[in-house]
Amino acid sequence: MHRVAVTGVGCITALGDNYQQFSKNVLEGYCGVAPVTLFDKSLVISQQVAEVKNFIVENHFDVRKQLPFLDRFAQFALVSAREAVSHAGLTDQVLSESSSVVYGTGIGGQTTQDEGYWRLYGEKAKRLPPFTVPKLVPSSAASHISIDMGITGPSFGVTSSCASAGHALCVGVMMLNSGQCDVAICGGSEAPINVGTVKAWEGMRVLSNDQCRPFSAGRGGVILGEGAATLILETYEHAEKRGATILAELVGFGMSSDANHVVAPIVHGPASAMSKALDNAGIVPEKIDYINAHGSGTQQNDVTETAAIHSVFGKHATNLAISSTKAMHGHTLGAASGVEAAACLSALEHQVAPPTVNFQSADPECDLNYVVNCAQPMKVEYVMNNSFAFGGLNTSIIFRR
Amino acid sequence: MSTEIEKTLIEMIAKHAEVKPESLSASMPVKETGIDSLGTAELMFDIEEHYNIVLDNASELQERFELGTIKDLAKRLEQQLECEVEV
Repeated sequence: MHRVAVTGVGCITALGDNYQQFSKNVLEGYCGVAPVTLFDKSLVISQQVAEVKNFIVENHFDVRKQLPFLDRFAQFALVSAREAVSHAGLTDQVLSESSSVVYGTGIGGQTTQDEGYWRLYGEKAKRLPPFTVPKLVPSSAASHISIDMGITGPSFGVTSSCASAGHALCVGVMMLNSGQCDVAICGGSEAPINVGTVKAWEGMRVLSNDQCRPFSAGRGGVILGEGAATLILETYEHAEKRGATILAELVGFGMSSDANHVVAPIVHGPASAMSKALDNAGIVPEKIDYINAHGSGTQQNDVTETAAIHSVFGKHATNLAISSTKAMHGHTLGAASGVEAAACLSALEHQVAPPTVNFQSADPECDLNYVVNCAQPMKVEYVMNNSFAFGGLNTSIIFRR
Repeated sequence: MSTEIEKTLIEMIAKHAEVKPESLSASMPVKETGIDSLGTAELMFDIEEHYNIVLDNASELQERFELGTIKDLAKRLEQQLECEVEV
């Protein structure tokens, strides 16, 4: 088993188009939620979203040679991957054959699909643009990163709804340990702010109409967010040998399935993922200082996750700091675990637990030590990053400073 | 003297080949305009949208793109437009 170093991170969300800006905003408790601007907001009831702001595609891509093939989700993936690779100081020679791309998304090219359906059924068009298929396939983010960086090692997409990026990171570690690569470019991307996708979420009755208030009494549900985050995972030896700056170590991960219900959460699945992550890291629960919770802000998730943390951590459950940064950057679905891994890295780097903003008052069923509204400076040695997806698909990942 | 269809095709091809329309003429073979396969797919889409037709017989048409001149392509389109029944 290799030790796994994190040597680069890239991030584009409602909290900014790079990791530094994200880190500053996430620790300052800046909320990126605002009324939708990407389409006519009168088409939806839930108008509050966390959009990537001031994203000028022409600044990032060749309009003729790249853009016809890039859905918005793949654009975000590529922007964050480029930042992560540059942050890690990786050169073309290192990338090529010894690297792989494992990239998560919950829904892939839904912006393309939505525009296509509107043309066909709304405008009664007879045809779709020629590159609709390559734009909408969920693996296109992985393909574009591979093409952009000349990576000829194994590359593929991973999908597990809101745990997609989490599974991508776990698989990335497995790729390093199996000798498939020395460097794994892992993360997740999502662009769900389009009419069809927002309407579909509205149908589930889990969207909040004002803000996302995880673990708070009176919470009204999820705020959809868009964006991507990419981490560079690397075997420790490889990172040391090339003199890379090691930002953190990914010391353990756990994956589990509820095998219960498509949308209703239960305690044992998430608890199992967290326990497996602790076992995998070879540490006792008391070592964890901070948990970046799944904390989606729905009634059921937050109560169930609280119970799962109690069951795994026992007495330590009320000592460790917990927050859900989704209140700031929205629920970025298939990107969530990547974006929240970036928040964990910020916590480790700055020794500050990011806050759960928009918190109003305590819910008796959510009785843990949540960091509410203001960030909390503290010793942060080990952090846990939870993602629990619809369909009962769970990941828990532990990073060490 | 170029026909209207030839002029339209020259404008479209110039856009996708990223050259000035003045640098193209109807007697030029399509593949010598600098248009690549990506541009050709987009050109076919533009032709269908502009004339509201479905380009049938793709293999024959492909041949025109591969071997023919802009004039040949225009003639082929003209024939289809003449017998086109609104679909």
